[in-house]
Amino acid sequence: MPNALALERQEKVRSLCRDRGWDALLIYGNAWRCDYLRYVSNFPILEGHGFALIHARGGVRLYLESPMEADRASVEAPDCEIVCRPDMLGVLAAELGRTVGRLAAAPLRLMPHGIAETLGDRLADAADAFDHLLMRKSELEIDAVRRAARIADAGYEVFREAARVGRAEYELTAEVETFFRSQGCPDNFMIIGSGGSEVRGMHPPGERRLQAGDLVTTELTPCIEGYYAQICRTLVIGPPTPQQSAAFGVYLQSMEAGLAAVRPGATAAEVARCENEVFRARGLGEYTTNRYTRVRGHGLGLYVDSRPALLEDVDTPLEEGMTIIVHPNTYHPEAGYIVLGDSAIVRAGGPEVLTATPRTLFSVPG
Amino acid sequence: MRRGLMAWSREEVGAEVFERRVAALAAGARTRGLDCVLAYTDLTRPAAVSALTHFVPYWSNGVLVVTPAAGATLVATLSRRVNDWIQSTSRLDNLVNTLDLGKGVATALPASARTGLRVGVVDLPSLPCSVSAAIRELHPDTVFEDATDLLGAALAGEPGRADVIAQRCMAIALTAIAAGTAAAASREANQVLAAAEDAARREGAEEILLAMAPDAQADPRLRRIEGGAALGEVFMLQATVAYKGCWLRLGRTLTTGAARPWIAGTDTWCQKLLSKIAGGARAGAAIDAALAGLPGASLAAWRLETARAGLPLATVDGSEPFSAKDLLPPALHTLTLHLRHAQGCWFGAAPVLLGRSGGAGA
Repeated sequence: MPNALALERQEKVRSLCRDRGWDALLIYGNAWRCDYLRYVSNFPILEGHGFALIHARGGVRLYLESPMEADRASVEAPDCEIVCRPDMLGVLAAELGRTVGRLAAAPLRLMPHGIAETLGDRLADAADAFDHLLMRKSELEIDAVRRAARIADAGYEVFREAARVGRAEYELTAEVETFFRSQGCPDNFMIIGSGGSEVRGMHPPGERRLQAGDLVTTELTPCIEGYYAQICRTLVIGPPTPQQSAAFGVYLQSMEAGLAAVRPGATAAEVARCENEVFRARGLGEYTTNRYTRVRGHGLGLYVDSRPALLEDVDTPLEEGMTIIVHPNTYHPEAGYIVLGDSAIVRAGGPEVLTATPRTLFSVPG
Repeated sequence: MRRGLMAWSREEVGAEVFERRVAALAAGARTRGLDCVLAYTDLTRPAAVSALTHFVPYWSNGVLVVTPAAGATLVATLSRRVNDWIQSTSRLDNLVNTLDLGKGVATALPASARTGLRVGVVDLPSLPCSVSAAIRELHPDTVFEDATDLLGAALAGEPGRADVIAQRCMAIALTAIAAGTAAAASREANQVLAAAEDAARREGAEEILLAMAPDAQADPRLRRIEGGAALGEVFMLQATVAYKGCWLRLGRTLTTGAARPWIAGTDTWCQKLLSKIAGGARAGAAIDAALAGLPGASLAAWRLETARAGLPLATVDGSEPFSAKDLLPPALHTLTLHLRHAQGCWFGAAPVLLGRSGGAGA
């Protein structure tokens, strides 16, 4: 990663601390919830707990549970002071206990019990304030998302070529992961679904082998310099049935309606409502509820599933420079589970769509 | 996220293995006077819940609540739409979906005849504080106790068929390293890593984490390659592989050109060392003794890792003092060694089975 981006983010965090009157901010991260830690330290943690302590007018100290990760951080996060001790939680808790001044933490809800018990009410919850830093992207950050979107498009081409009768879901995933790795992309969020109208969602790849007539769905989410971009597409093994083609038309219209609503000042709820109205107009409103779907899109950035969630009860306003995916993924009673989604940047003149794969129900040889 | 094969083969490990483990943990809780035992899980700390139920979350998090009356209840922040997948990969008595993990767990706790609940927690210091806070909000007089030792005891009596899983995991790691080695002629880190990744995932790895020192003569520190790197004459490759909840590391010092006798000689030396450790010798003492037989070499660092509580690979011994306790059977460990030779740095990592008479090194 260009050092400029890491320095830019650290300075924003220091500025946040000063604005809020926090003397220091304690950040928690692990390989699942990696975004807060990467924002501050630029370290892509893979194993164990990680904490970054950043002072309002000081450097970043990175506490890592795994000695192997500490070795790696000495190369990958050279600007941080690395701390690794056998009783890391105890060492950190004791050190924080001696720290004078106002402390805040993000995300506080995931902070280990061993830390929170020691500090009690001293830790202010910085998650909301920090989430705003994560949501509003600088042009340097947007550039990384844009590059991730390009590799997502290329990854879907690989997926499409690999989806053939007899191929197991995990073998299909292997081909995509191998491609991403060959392009220097070490991380990806990917789930998959295959089958007919009995399929109600996506999951990690299993042993099921693709069959003629299957709908095959996937979300690909490669990561470049920590920033994720996502694409959602559906293909059919063999020619699509009239029911599948007709059903896909609803998703296409829904996604385009959602994207058309993306502009600074619009809320997440408005985008979701525009997507859902298309389903409701066809008598399919039930399939926009949480019985069949989770969200109608979400933020993208250093975390795959960032704020804001695109849901009709989320009133977060969109701002210029936010990166999101609009995806009306859900179950269709006649066709099964269908996904369609594109990543976009919120721009004053309308969304800048980052993914360029055609918005079609693909058909591959059966 | 976990994005390799996540499936449960009942032929490899039957449901009865998990039932006995949960029953043993519940019995331990009862003996200690605990109302229940909690084990937290996410994709970074899956080991405890995986050992009890086979469940590993590909994303999000959860807490397993084990009680004598209700058995194993998983409270998970995953959507109900993946419940079929969860049930197909796990041996559970109950499954609860929740948007708020703390509230979900607090609600799932058993009622207590006493004033306060006594709740055992595997690796209590690591439990997210939102979970303990929500429990105290609903059950104000709750007392938490660390129950990591209870888990260790429950698993120690029930190794199941974990050797089969470990052997398969090792076979996948060997295949991955061999594929990476075969791609070394490309002199591109990305091609070596892609070959290793491809081989592991096609063989059914649940996960593979790759680290590399692309030019070990310039810098022997392992790192994750992002973007790409050219390989030097000597490079180091480490594959951390997961298969059905079993984790191990395999690492090698490799060359892009002709083989180096000093590397091959050290590899052979390491195999003998692993055999001694598998035979019962303490790792630190065995390494010190073995170094006498490797003229010109000195030890830079070593570490021994195994599953502990939620962590699939926790350092339990090494160049710095770590406390070796609460190990999860089957006592599969990974030994990692960094040596300095006159000709350059050498690195190796390999699994070794400890704690069993007649055990064999990898």
